[in-house]
Amino acid sequence: MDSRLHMGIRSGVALELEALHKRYGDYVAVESVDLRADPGEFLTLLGPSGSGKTTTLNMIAGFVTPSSGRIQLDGGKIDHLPPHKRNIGMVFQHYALFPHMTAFENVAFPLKQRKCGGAEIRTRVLEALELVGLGDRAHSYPRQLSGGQQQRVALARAIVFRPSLLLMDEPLGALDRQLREHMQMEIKRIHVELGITFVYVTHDQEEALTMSDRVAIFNNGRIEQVGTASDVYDRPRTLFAAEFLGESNSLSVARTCQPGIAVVAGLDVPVRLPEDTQMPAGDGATVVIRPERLRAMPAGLERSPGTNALRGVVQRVVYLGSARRVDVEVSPWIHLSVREQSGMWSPVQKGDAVDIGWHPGDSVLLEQRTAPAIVTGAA
Amino acid sequence: MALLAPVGLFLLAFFAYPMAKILALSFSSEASGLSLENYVWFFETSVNIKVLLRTFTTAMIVTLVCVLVGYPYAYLMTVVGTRWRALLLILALIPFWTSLMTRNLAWLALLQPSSTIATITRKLGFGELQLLGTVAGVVVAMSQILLPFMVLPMYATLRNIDRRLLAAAEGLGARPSVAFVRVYLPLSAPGVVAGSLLVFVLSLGFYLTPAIIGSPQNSLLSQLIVTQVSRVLNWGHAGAMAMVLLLVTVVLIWLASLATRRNAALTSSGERS
Repeated sequence: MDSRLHMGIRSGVALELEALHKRYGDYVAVESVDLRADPGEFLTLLGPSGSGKTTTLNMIAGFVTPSSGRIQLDGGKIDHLPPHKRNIGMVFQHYALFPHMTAFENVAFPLKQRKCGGAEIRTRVLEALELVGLGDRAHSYPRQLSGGQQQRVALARAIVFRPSLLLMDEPLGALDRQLREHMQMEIKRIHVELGITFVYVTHDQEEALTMSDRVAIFNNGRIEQVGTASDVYDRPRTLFAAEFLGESNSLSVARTCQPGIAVVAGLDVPVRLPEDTQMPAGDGATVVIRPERLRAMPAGLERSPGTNALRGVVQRVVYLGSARRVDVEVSPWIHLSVREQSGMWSPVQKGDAVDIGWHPGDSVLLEQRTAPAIVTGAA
Repeated sequence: MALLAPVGLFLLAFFAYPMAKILALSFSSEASGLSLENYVWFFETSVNIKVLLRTFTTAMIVTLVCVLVGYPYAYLMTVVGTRWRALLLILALIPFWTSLMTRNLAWLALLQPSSTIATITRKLGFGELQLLGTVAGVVVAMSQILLPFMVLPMYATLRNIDRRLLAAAEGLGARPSVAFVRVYLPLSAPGVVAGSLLVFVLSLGFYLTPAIIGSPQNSLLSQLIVTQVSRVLNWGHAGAMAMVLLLVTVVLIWLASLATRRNAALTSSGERS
C-alpha cells in the first residue's frame, strides 16, 4: 500500500505565469500577469469580483485559453494541453460534485480516468476520504451531505490522484462563517500534510492573510502587489492594495519638503515618515496609516517626542465587539478612523477634541493621489 | 377540496364510468353473466397476438427514432443563445398547434409514390421506396407527430444539468467525450425516460396515423379495436383488447416511474449551493 498521500513526501512543483493576457473582444479580463508559485507554496490570488483572479485560475486549469502569454508547470509549458491532460487538481466554489455518484464514486472518478486497478482505487479513495475526515460517509450521495461535507468530498476528489498543483476557486464562499474558519484550518493542515503547491482564489482578505504564504492582489485584471501577508498588509505598494486589505486612512500629500517629511494637503502639517522612505519624484502622493496604528487621546495632553499628531473632533464612536472605531474629523475634507482593541479604549467620546498620534514608522508613503483629491494646498 | 369538485365530477362521469363500463363489457358474454370468453378469444386468435406485437414494435421504434432525433435537438436548445432557443422551441411547438388531421393528410401527400420525396429518392438511386401503407411509413409520420412530446420533457431536464460538472470532469482527467458519457448522459436519463414514456404510451394507442398512412394488412391494435366496435359490433372483444392494452401500458408506466423516481431524487437536489 502506497501511503505517500499521508506522509507528504511528494513535493509540489513550481508554477510560472508569464505575461498572461486574456481579452474578450474589447474587454481585458487579465492583463500581463507575471506570477510565480514556488514548489509547495500556498499562493492566494486576492481581489474583488471581476478583478481577473478567477480567469487567471481558469487559464491555469485549462478551462480558459489565454490570449497571449505562457503558463509553465515544473518548467514545462502546459498552454497547449487540454484540461484533462494537465493533471491539476481543482476545487470549485459550487463543489461540482457529480450528483448521481456517491462520495466514493466521486473521489474514484479521477482514478478511473487514469485506469487504476479496483483494489488501488479502493485504498486511495478511502485514504483521501479519511484525510478530509469523511471516511464514514463514503456511500452517501452529495445531496445527503452538508455543504461543508460536500466541499470536503470535492477536496478529496481533487487530491486523490496526487496532482502536484491544487487550484481552489473560492472554495469556502458558500459556507457560513464558523464552518468557513474551521475549513480554513483543515485546508491549511492538508496543505502541510501533502506538501503540494496550492493556488487559492478568494475575495476575502482575512482568509487570504491567515492562510497564505504569499498573496497576489488583483485589481482590474492586473496584479497590484505580491508578497507575504505582512508585506502586503503593512507595506502596501498601491492605494488599492492598502484599501482592499482591511481599513486604512489616507492623507493627501501637498508636498514633500525634505527627506522623511510630507506635508498634508490642506492642513500644512508636516508628517514624519519611516526613515528609509523613498521620496517621490513627481507630485501626487498619499500617506496611508492603518486605523489600529493610530492612538486617540484627549487634546492638549503632552505627547511623546518624534510622533506624528493631528488634532480633530470625535464625530462618531462605533462599537464592533472586539474593538471600537473612533471616527475623527480633522478638517472638513480629512477624516481619520482609529481602531481601539477592547480593553484599551481611550477616554474619548463623541464630540471631544482629540489628538491623534502615531509612530512615523507606521505611515506608508504611496506615489499615488488618494481618490477625492482635494488639492487646495497643492504647491 | 371544494375546488376539486368540478374536475372530480367530470372525471367520474367521463372517465371512471366509461372505463368501468368497458371493463364490465370485457368480462361479459352473449350468454350473459361473467366470463373470460373475450380474453380467451383474444389470446387464442393469432392475428390478435401478431397485431399486439406489431403495435409494441412500432411504438418502440417510434420511441427510439424520437430519442435519436429529440436528444440532439433538446441538447442544441440548451447550448444556443436565447434567440435561437426561442426559434427552436417554436419549431418544436408548431406541430402542437397544427391539427392532427392536417398533419396526417400532409404526410399522406408527402409519401405518395408521385410526390417530390419519392421522385428525389428514385433519382438518387434508392429505388422505389414503399412508404405508404407500410409500417415504415407509419413510423416516419408518427415520429414526426410525437416528436414534441419527446423534446419538451427532455429539454426541461437537460437545461437543469449543471454544465460546470463537465468542466469539473475534464479537470479530473476525463476526455470531453468521456465526461459527456459518464456525467451528462446519466443526469439526462430522467428526461429521456419521461419523454420516451409519453411517446411510447401515445404510440400504443395511436389510431389516426396508422389508419391513414398504414394499411389494413399492417394494422395496429387500435385499428382492430375500431373494427370490432364499428364493423363487427362485438363490444366484448373490443373491451378485452382495450383492457390488455391498458394493463400493459400501466405496468410499463409503473416500471418507468420507479426508474425515474430514483434518478430524479439524485439529480434534483444536486444543486445545494
